[in-house]
Amino acid sequence: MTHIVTVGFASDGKLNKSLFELIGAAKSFENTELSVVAVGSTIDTNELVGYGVKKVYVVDGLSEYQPESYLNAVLKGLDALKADIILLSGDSIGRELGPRLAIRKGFSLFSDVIKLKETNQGLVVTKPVYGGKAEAEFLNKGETAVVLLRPKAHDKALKSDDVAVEIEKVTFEASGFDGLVRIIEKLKDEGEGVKLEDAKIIVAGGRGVGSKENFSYLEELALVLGGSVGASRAAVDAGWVSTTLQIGQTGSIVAPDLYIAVGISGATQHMAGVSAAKHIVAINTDAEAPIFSFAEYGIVDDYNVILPVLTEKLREILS
Amino acid sequence: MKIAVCIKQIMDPEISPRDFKIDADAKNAVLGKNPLVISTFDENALEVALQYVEKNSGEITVFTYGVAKSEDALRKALAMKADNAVLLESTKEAGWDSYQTGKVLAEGLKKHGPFDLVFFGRQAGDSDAGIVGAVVAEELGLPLVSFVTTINQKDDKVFFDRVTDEGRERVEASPPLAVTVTNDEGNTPRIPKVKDIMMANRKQISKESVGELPASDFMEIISLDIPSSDVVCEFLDGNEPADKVNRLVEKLKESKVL
Ligand SMILES: Cc1cc2nc3c(=O)[nH]c(=O)nc-3n(C[C@H](O)[C@H](O)[C@H](O)COP(=O)(O)OP(=O)(O)OC[C@H]3O[C@@H](n4cnc5c(N)ncnc54)[C@H](O)[C@@H]3O)c2cc1C
Ligand SMILES: Nc1ncnc2c1ncn2[C@@H]1O[C@H](COP(=O)(O)O)[C@@H](O)[C@H]1O
Repeated sequence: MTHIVTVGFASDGKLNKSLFELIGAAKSFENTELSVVAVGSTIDTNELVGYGVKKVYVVDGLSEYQPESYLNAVLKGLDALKADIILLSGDSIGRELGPRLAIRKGFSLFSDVIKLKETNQGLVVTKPVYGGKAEAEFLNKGETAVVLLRPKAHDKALKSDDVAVEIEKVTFEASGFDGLVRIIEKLKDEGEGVKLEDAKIIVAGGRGVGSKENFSYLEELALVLGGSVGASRAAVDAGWVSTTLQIGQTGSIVAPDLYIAVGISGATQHMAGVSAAKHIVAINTDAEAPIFSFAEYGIVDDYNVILPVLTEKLREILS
Repeated sequence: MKIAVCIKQIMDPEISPRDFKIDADAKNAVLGKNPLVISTFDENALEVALQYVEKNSGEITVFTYGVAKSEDALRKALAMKADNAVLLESTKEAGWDSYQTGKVLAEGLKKHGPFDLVFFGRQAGDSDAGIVGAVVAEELGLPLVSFVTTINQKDDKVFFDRVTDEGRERVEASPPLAVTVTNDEGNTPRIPKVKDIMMANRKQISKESVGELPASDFMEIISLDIPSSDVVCEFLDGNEPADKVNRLVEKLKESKVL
């Protein structure tokens, strides 16, 4: 019997959605017991009813994410358990906590995992390497492991019953480095609409867009479609858009219904963030650009010519 | 401020998929004619450190753990104006186990330290792991500030701008600290001047042998593949832009996204 512990966070009372992806991934294992360690404030554990979770360890009273206190809280939750596999989402919190958690527990650590399976030899995980140009399978040589799952790589678990979950409250004690890293302020980005992670339609621009001003063509199209604007790393590094709009392996991982890539070449590091998109459209002057081996529909042309026409046409039919 | 920056030399991550080959038996990428470079985020990290020193004060030592030819990465960092360089020289490339790499680096940092700020890239462009920074932080008992884009100092307080899933935030933290860096427009790496490249070639690099590490206790790579794509792009042609656009709109209606 493998005991899988998924870790969830609730900074505003609601558990993070990616927790349900972790539960979905855990359910593909046979012969397992599933627990949750939930850290945050005023956590609503009812949300976890019906997912086959046996026990929830709640560490409540931490309203704001703070790396050291969250780490200590998760460790505290794990004290009560004998976990074989600890699953975390590889989002910004998970990627901060995961490695430290594994080291403190003496567990193996696998990050950016897109598949995991139990074999006779032990746990085997699949993760992209070389910027996504290749995929490697790793065997866990240890008995235990912390696994960080790439966001959106697994479907969310479906509710299957109404069996109540057992709740155990764990009291949190601050210690260690608490308070050494303090959040002073949240800095607002301008022009932010729907969060990229939640957007149904994304119009993303790359180096081919050519300037900060020209991103307004993309903004207009996004507005007409009710979507959001994203970008490649090259557009971020050029200073045309904020780094928070970066999509890809080291930016947001998105899963829109429609992704329109404008002047983006389709580097694997970028496409790693888009693999869950349902439909990809690429507009690029270069018919040989790698983006066309990911896109369902392609237009080989200058976006300066295409975008205004497309925006006008959509404005017509959508209004 | 005594500053360390850990940089890794990797095969250029920007090469086209056409030039990317693997040796499925050896389970690694084949370098071939592809260039070796400093992993991108490590250059961003060095840039942040350099800007900090320019505005305030301090001395920067770059560290790399790798084979003899990783010296080139250190030379480039020196040309960008790092002060000192340390090569933790191995007879074999650093493997997939980020714990081991982190421990080697932590030993080197201890020997040459203590450092007030220890910088890392958020993740290396070959391992795509993002673990080593945290391992070293643990080994050295340092708090970790991650996904940092900029550092500012006011009086004796150090402020970090960082990126999270929620957006940007500013944190205050007191050295000694470990810091991982992510890209943004303010930390695009500088291109060294020819004169500085020449100077860097004459600089002394401290080399210490770490030999060859034993097989990892934690992980073993069992396969390496290039994933195949079954997507066939449908090109929407037409004489006029409007023709292409109309065809696209039809397609999007058919697939019910509109
Ligand atoms: C470790 C690591 C992590 C990375 N993470 C990310 C990441 O998360 N996200 C990311 O995006 N990148 C990431 N990168 C960078 C990535 O490798 C590429 O460098 C980047 O995605 C390229 O951006 P681009 O497609 O905008 O630029 P380019 O590759 O320069 O492509 C520009 C494209 O625009 C086209 N074009 C030019 N003019 C026009 C026009 N008028 N109309 C239409 N098309 C035009 C060109 O034909 C070209 O295909 C990462 C790299 C590394 C090493
Ligand atoms: N062999 C190495 N030598 C020096 N620094 C390294 C090495 N490997 C990793 N690093 C540092 O650790 C970061 C994260 O690496 P990784 O955990 O492999 O993604 C890199 O961006 C580098 O800053």
